[in-house]
Amino acid sequence: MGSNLNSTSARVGRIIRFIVTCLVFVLYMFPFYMIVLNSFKDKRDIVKVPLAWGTLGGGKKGFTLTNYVEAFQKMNFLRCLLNSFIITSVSVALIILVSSMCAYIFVRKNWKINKFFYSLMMFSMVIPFQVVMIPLISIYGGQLNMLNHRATLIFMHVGFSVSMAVFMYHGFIRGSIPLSLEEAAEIDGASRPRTFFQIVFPLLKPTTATLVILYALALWNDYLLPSLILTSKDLYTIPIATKLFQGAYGNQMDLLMAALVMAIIPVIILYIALQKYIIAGVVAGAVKA
Amino acid sequence: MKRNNKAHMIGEFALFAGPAVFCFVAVVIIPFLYGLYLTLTTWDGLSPTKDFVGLANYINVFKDTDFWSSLGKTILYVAISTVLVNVVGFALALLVTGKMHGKNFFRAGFFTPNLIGGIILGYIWQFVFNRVMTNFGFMSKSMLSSYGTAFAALVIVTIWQYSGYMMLIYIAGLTGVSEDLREAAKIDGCTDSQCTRFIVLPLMRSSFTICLFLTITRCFMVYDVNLSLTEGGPGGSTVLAAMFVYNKAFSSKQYGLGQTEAVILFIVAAIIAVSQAAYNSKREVEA
Amino acid sequence: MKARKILSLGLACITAAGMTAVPAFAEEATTEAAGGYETEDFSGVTIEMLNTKSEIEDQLEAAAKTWGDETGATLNVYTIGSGSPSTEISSRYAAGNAPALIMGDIQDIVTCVKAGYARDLSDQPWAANGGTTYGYSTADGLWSFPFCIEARGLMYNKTAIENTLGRDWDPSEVTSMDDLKSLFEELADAGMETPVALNMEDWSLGGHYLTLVYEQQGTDLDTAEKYIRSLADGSEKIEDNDRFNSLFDTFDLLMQYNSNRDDPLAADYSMNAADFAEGDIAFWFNGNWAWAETSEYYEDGTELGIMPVPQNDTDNNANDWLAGSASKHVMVDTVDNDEQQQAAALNFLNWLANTDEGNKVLVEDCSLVPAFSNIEADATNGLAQSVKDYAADGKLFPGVIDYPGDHWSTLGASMQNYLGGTIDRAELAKEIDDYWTSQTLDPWED
Repeated sequence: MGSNLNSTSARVGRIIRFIVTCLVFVLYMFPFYMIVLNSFKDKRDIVKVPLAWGTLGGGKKGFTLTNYVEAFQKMNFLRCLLNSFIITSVSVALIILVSSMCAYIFVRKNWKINKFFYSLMMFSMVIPFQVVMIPLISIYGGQLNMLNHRATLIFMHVGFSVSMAVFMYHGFIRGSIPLSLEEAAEIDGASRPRTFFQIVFPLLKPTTATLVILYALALWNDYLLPSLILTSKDLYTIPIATKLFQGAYGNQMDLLMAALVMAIIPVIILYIALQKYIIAGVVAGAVKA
Repeated sequence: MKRNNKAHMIGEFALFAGPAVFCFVAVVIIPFLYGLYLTLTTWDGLSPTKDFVGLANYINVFKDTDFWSSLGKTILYVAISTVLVNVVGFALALLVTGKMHGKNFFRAGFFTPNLIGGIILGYIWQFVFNRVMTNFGFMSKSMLSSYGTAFAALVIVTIWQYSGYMMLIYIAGLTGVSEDLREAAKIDGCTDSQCTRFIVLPLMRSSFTICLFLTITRCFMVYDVNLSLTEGGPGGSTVLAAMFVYNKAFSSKQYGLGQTEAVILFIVAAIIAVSQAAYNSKREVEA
Repeated sequence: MKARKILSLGLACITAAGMTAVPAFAEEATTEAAGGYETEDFSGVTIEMLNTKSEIEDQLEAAAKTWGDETGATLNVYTIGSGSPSTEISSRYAAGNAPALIMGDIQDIVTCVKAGYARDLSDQPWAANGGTTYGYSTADGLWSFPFCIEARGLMYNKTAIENTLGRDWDPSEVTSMDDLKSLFEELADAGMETPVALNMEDWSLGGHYLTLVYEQQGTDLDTAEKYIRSLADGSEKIEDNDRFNSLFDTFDLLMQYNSNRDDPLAADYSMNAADFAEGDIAFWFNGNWAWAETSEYYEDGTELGIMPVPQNDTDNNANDWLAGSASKHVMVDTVDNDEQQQAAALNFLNWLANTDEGNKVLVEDCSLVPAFSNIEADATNGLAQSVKDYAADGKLFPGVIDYPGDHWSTLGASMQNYLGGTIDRAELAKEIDDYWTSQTLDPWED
């Protein structure tokens, strides 16, 4: 009897929770819906009747695909896509590799130099980009003449990103990776790099998956740094090309929306692909317990 | 033997931390030091001459009342946003963990705001505030047309943008709390909320530390959304520190002074963010 | 402020004209000064141009290709969208790869000239055809190629007015604020209740409307600058000024009939353009650059134009002249580009100014109003045509060059507060006075 009542209230609780989630979901998706909807509309209708559904609700021109065609051609979308893809994927891979190794040694070894660089990294996370912006390009452009190479940008992405990645790995390794596993490996005679790659790194999967998503997104959408480093059209990334649709006096909102939708699709695919690994974090947690 | 140890230590440091530290120093620290040097000059951001003036810029910052009022607004913004982003982010994480239909779908949805870069996000919300909300009769005037509400609008967009991000980190933390532990607690008669309060929360301190730190640092540096949503308006009332400093350096062509104010912003943000993290880390250890 | 060097066009023109032009290249010395362009061979030379008018990106790239095919050079057009030219220019000089041709606002050019980066252009064939009049010149030379003339005023949609009133209408009917008021009333009675749009952007309010006060103190720059100096040293108060009060009487009228009056600070620029082009409203305070946005909603046959902001104080031709000047300037860099590249850059500018193909790029492809007297082709739209007509008659108030960099944003914010009703005219005047008197405290000016 009591358990019956309990399960009824639990079910009601679940339903309420589901409804709340749905409402919040709508709220979160609304601006996104606006972008997708308007990417299929003529600029006149975007400005005058942004909520209209094609010709329903006051639209004069109905739905159209021309924004996509035009944005695709004007941006030279495929080349931008390739540039963005190379820069993002190589940067993220390097960030993951060097930060996880760095955080590992920072946690496991209590050296002064480790403490020094760890605190330096913590502090550096609050450096406003503007402080280093002009110095950065006068060093790498004016002195070293290294601008307009994808490799330079990748190097800088890594340099700017390691602080936070090390910070997050640091927290996870300290809190969730038991020393006992490594000690066992070391007794078996495994070298430290081998211990790290075979035992520790796989256990970092939840953090790695999280970081891959966060950085892939951040770098994919980054505008300011790439725009400073890459001024040659052949090297443009998607955000640089998209920015041209925003003029000083008025925006090409129609093309902007279409470009945005096209730019988001690869990231959504990545997110869906990686979501599995975040759930796999449960397994990693179980190993720990 | 001792020398051997030392060599071994250097080798390990170079192998594990070397690449990360090298990139970090080359890209962040060296330009930062050069940037610090520029605060001691009257450079206009363009000309070849950089006159050395010692600490004159720092003295001038203290006279620049507009900067301090902008910094004050920024701190208020950071405080409110940090609390709300994390409350909402954690609530979302709780909503979409555990048993629920389509929870992956919802997670992806809450995370979507992060797929859109800051500039366009500001434009879309400008439209929502100016056109949609007034149309639906929520309010007669746009939130962006007076100071208090424009400030609130900034906070709302910040929550919308970052809560999904923090949700992701909280989910990673929540899934780290083993299901067995919760089951055990439930068998002992814990309700869902008690379970959250007494089992989950204490085990998630490190997630909180990370999220608070990230929110604080990001909010201090907010620029894109500020620029595209309110453009500092109405009447210059919502110019937050990063935007102020940027305008000072480039629009007013007082690069040396702008750079100095940016360094002050850095110091304030660093003190707040790092002391928060240090305090919470200490509590993690105690717990 | 007394120390801030305001460089006046008028003064500069006279001195620059008196300068002996020293041709840098033998081949140019042979070029006839009046309208001469000769194709040169620049095979293998690559130059870059910073374009800060993103709306003409495609047209400029096409032009670069045409010119490149003729001369063998490669011209890469590097366009930036929103975002300030000054940041871009700073970072490109810091990076040591400044473009050969840099398009910027006048303040950007002034900074570059002060830094010693710009090439003297006074020997160029186009200098005599309006180059010195509209370009940026100092006692030492001519530093910029005036890319186009832009003027601001009250833009009108003649078709919409006539359709609403059911009678013919001509802008010459409105010669005072009172005329404008009765026209507004007439339009309101005929069903167009809010016939005018005001932008809420600070550049429009602070940079374009408020600055009329300074520029209409007389008809030349000297008077305008003298007035600004007297505001800065406190000898004048703006609230006592007739021009200020006259312009703000009109501004109050515009506010009263503003299509965004329910929530003036939520005005949307694109929406204003669409309303104006489609005839939902009849007037818009803006300038001919707005064609880029307006054309998106424009239907053929609609008659558009620009007229001065009508005022009751008609002194100094206030109701007969538009406020306008060259709005984008192109300079040639001497630091990061070698002689060959500079020569190619000069050749491209000359090509724009002095060939039929180049003229077509400016007038037809880009819908601009060129600054050069040798270009006679009619403008492609009514807004540009108005500006061209006023310019041809010499009826333009020149713009003050060296406003402090934060003038439009700081006083634009004050203007927003006025537009939004948070401050009244006396408080606005006090903020303007305070802004100018505080300029003397600037410690770094020479």
